[in-house]
Amino acid sequence: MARRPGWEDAFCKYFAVRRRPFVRTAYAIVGSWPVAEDATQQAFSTLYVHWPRIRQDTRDAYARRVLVNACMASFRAVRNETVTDELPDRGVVDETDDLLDLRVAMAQLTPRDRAVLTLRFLDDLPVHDVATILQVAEGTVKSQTSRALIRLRSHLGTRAAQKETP
Amino acid sequence: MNLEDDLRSDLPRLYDDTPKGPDLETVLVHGRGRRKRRQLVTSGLSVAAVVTIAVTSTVAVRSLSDDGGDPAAADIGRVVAAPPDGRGSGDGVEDFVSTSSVDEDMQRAINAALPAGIRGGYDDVYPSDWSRRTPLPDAEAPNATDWYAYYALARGETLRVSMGIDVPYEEDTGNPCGPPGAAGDPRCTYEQLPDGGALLVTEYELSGENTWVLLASMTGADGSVTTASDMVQADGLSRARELWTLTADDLTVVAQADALTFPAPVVTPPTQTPDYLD
Repeated sequence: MARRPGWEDAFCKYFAVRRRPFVRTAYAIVGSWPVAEDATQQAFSTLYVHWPRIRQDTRDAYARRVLVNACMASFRAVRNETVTDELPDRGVVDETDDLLDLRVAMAQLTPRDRAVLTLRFLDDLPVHDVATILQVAEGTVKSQTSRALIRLRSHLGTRAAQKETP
Repeated sequence: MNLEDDLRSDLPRLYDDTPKGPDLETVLVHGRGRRKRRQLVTSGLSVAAVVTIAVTSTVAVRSLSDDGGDPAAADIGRVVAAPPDGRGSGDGVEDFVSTSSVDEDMQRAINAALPAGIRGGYDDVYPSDWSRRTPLPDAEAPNATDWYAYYALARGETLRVSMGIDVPYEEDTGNPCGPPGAAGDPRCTYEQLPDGGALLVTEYELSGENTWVLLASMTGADGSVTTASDMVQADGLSRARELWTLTADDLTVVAQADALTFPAPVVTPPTQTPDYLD
C-alpha cells in the first residue's frame, strides 16, 4: 500500500490557493493558455519535488521563481512556432479597444519584459520581491521595468497611430 | 493616471478570465514520479561519481594511504585498484570487501540471474549506507544498509545492481509513472504485486550526461528495494534502445532474484535525510 508523505496535504492546500493566480501569471508571460497551463503544472511538479525543504517564509518567492523559469523554458520550446505580433489566445470576455491594444502591445514585448511587468503590476509585488524571484539586484528590476514600460508605451503608441491611419 | 497605474488597473482585467489551471491529481502524479526518479538518479549519479573519482585518483589515494592518509579514502583506492578482470576465485567471483561475504554472494546471485552468454566483469562491489554517498570502509560493512555492484558489460555499458533495506527518509509514493506516453517517450511501467511488493520498469536519462538508463526496481513488501539497471552512453533514447544489451525482462529477473539479500545492519546510521538528496 502506497504511503503518502506527511507534508502532501500542505502542498495540496497551497496548490488550491495558488493555482489560479499562478496560471494567470504564466499566461501573462507566455500569452497562451495551453502553454501557461503546462508551465504551471511543471512549476507545481517541481515544487512538489522540493516541498519538504522549502522554508515557509520563502515559499511564495521560490514558487514564483520556479513558475517564471518554467514560463521561460516553455517559451524557448515554442518560440519558433510563435508569431509574436499575432493576437495571443484570449478569453471569452468582451474587451474594450484599450484592453485589446494592451493585449497586443504586451504580446510584442520580450518574455523577460512581460515577466517583469507581470510581477510588478499584475501580481503587484514590490521591487524587492521581484528581485528575489528573478534573482537580480533591485536596481536591475527598476531599470528593466523602466525599459519595459518604454517599449510597451511605444507599442501602444504605434498601435494608436495605426488605427488613426485611414 | 500614468502607465504604471493603468497597468495595475488593466492587467488584472485583461487576465481575469483565467481557466482553473492544471489538475491536482496530475500534478501529484508528476511530482511523485519526479521525486522518485530524482532519488534514483541521485543515487546513480553519486555512485558513478565515487567510481569516477576513485578511478582517476587511485595513484593519489594510494600515495595518501602510504603516508597514513584518511582510511576511508585508502579503502576506496584499495577497492578500485583491484583488477576489473581479475576473477580469481574458482566460481568467478572476486573478494572486493575483505570483511564480508556479501560482496561474493551478490556476484553469485547476479551471475545466476543474468542471461547466458552475457560477457563482462565486475568493476566494483561495495557496501554503503543511507547517510552517505560513498562506500563504507571495509570494517563497517556489517552496518551497511545498501550494497552496490558494478558490472562492465562487453560493449562499454555498465550493469548496476543495488539492494537496500527500507530507507526511513524515503516515502513510498506508489506509482511514479504518469499517464502512458507516446511511442517514442521513455517507458515507465509500474505493477503492484500480489505479495505487497511493486515492480517499476523505466527508462530515463541522467541529467546532462548523455547516459541513458534502463531500470528495473523491485520494492518488497517490507520496503526493501533491489534495482538492476543497464547504463549506456547514447545520444537519445532511440539510440540507447539500440545499444542496451539487457532487456527490461533481463533486468527484472535480476532485480527479483531471491538470493539478493544481506544481513540487517548491526548498527543503523542516523535517519535524517542526507543533505545531498535535495
